[in-house]
Amino acid sequence: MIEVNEVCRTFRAPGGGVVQALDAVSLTIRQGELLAVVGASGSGKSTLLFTVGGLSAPTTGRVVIDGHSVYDLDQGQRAALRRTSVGFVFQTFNLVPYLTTLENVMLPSLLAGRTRAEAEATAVRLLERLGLAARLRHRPAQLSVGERQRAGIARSLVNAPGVILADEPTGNLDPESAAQVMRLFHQLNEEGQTIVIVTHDLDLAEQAPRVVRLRSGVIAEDRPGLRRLAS
Amino acid sequence: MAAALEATAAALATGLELVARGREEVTNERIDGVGPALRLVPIGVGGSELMRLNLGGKPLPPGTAKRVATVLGPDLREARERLVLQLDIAGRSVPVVGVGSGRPAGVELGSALAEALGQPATLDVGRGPEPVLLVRAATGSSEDGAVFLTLVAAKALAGEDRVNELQLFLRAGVPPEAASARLEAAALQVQVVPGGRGAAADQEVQGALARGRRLAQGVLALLLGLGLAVTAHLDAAERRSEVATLRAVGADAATVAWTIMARSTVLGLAGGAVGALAGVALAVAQDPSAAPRLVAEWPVALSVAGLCALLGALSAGPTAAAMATRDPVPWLQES
Repeated sequence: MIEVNEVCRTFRAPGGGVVQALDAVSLTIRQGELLAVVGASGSGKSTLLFTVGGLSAPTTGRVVIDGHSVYDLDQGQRAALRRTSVGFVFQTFNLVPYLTTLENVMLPSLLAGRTRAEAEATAVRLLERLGLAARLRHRPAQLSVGERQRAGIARSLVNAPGVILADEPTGNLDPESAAQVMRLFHQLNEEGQTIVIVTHDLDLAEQAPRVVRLRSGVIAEDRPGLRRLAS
Repeated sequence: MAAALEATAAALATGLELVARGREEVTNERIDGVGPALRLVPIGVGGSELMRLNLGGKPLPPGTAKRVATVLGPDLREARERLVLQLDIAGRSVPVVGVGSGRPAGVELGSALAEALGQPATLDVGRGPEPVLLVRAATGSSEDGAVFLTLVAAKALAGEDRVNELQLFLRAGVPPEAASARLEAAALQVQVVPGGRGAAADQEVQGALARGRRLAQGVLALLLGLGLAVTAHLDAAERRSEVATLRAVGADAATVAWTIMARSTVLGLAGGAVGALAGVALAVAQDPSAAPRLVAEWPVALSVAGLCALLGALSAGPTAAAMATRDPVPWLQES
């Protein structure tokens, strides 16, 4: 379970002054939940996601993952938490360009201290499941955008984290690839995976069981999705 | 780009160093042509005897050359053993100097002796008439009145295996006085005397060479370090999305920092190795006749490549530390 308690996050604006990206946001994300966070650009969606994931410290407030107050941990412990409890999926995929698909997916496993054989076995299994068995030795530039995002999802899953945090995962995809990726998220969620998706695509968001709308750093709406995805 | 810059700097560093070494060698050879920096002779040989090249019958203690090499280490370029005898030739007492091993049978004459003897074509120093191979240019010293033959031939004439003089040729920038003091302190049971080739001028020339080289090396190392720091920073900036991804998937600060530094080290080594080889080629192109000598200086190229790797690691340090600890979220969102 993830608890976000009264989290505020401010940034210094380039021209001076302060931007309030998150303003006393409180949220509970239960185990096995699929949550879509929506809102206009600059509403604080991505800031909330990265704060939950232990990458961006809040100005005030707490984030608790599985009983650990994330920002009371030191940097090394927080990195360990990201390795084991959190999996990130990015809009721009963020695959390391000179590594193969397989090596990209193995990376978090190797960082977590697993042997190369263990990491490879898990990565191969995941990539096969996501339809990338024929792309193991390809580099990211040789993959379609949909394949890159599936590789990114495989990487996020490789250490079996408690939660997947996806920042605009369909933002760079064509409609067909976007639908594929969303179907994949729903499948994973049906298997019990907790997933938080930040998106500005309302159609996709409404397929989620729960939708949280942010407006100017404040939760304006927290309700069930209007349209569950037809499986 | 980083590797190319490092290669260029390494090529310049290696090339300059090798060219400097070549110049130093040429200068040393010219100075050596005048005479040694120091001479070691048996204890008891007086100043006037030295002037007249009359070193008497006492030999230097056995193993003196080896001990001198140990005491002076790399400051010693060459230790030349000589056996100086006084023989009656054509009715006069003439110094006969045995030195070196490369010459064929025959003798060389000092300019004054050749003139006094009427420029003879052959000379008998006790082994029958031998051809005069060369008349040496005048040096203004008592060697102008001497006969020169190989050390082996001189030992045969003396009838014993001994030497009574060791001439020392020092590296550029090594003051003969300092070398002399070290030899005195080593208690070698020999007399250390100045070589008489104008030590002050010699030292000045050699010192200027060494200072110029050190200055060039210092400036190049500084430029290389600054260049590497800038390229490490630019390289890391180009790869900040990758660094941010590493951190997002759980790499700790140390892992991220080591990744950046290792990359910079490898780039430095690769650039340095390529550049060092290019530097050797540049130096050879500048002076083709020096090629064999320059190739023998391969440790310079190795040192430059190693220095590039070290500078690569050190110069990436500040960038690595910053990238390992700064907020990665903006980098994740900008790619």
